[in-house]
Amino acid sequence: MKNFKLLFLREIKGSFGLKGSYILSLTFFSISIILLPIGIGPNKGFLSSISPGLIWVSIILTTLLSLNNIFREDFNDGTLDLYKTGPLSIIEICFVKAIVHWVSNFLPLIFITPILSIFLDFPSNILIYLILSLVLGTPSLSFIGILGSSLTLSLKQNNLLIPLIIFPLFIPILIFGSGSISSLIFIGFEDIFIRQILILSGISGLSVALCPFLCSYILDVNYD
Amino acid sequence: MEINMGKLNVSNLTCYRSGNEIFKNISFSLDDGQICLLTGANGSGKTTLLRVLAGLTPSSSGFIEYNNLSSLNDNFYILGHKLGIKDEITPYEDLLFWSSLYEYKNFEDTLKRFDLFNSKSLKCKYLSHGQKQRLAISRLSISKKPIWLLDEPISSLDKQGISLLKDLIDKHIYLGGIAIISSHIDFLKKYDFRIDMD
Repeated sequence: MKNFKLLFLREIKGSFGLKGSYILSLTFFSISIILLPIGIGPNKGFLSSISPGLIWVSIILTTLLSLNNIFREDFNDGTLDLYKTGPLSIIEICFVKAIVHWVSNFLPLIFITPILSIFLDFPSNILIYLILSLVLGTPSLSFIGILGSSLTLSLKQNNLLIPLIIFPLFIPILIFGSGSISSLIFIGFEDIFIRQILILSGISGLSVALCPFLCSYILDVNYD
Repeated sequence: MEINMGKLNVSNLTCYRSGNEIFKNISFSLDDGQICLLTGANGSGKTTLLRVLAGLTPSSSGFIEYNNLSSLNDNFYILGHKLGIKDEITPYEDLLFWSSLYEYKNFEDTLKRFDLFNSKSLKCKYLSHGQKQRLAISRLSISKKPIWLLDEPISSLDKQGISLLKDLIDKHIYLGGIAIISSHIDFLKKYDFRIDMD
């Protein structure tokens, strides 16, 4: 646990440093949300009804920007060599990498979502449920994301490959993430919302439990 | 510093990459307290051999044993061309992290010994390549690994740095460790085994 904490603190400091991808994620997400209503037009009812989908699609597109960097810098500068031959297990490394990716990329997006939701005329009375769906759903994006990042680690031109590999795995998260909030807008607080949120939590739980192990296996066989 | 003494056996180690033979049937044994020098021209496979030994690159055939055990990851420390130094952290933070991981307490003395104490608060991006190399070498002294794999360790080092490295290797060997060193320049006065990769 001590090593886990040490690595987490080192990685989190690196992620929020000058080169951190969180700035790019935050900028891309904000610009997307601000531009969408300009492109769609000022139909307030329509914008409000599609806002959950727009927010979740923007979140997923933003994720794709940062996935390439999860292991890339450590691989290029030799840090990953030291991690692999050091006292840390590869599973611990994968776990920390995914958590740090979530903290540095999604947490700022979740904090800024209430402000940006104004641009989409998102109903303020269900804002807390949107935040709940993001908090429960986005960890799966980071944990599935480390799989894509590790699979393409040894390839130099991998910018196109990660979205192609990872995108299908993000579709259920998009369906249940945006679906849960859309059901609140169209039907109200019913069982369907709770069921979708539970499924979303289940996907996240499964990703957290399985992806670090799969990622460590990939880093073992696909590391050269 | 305690080192578990043991014997390293490498047998018929062969490595192919993309169908090309990098090296074939390399076998050697090293007892505790021995140094192996790797020599050879550029591209002869010195770095690949060290990475295979460290478990970072898969071998095509052959086996590596340390103390008759094939699980080796815990026993090797590799110092390669890529130093694993982050631009945005300071030498102090870097050594504090690794010494905490390896449970080594006197890392400030290590900074002083490698003449990095005055630069301890400077971000690593402002260090010269020689200073970065010193920082990477200083990590050797805090790792408790019995087998050191050093890939061209004196590149970028000045005379004082080379002398520090020699002292470090001598101490490691004296304590019963094993060192496998690749180098173009013969900076070691003595070694126990030599592999010519040409």
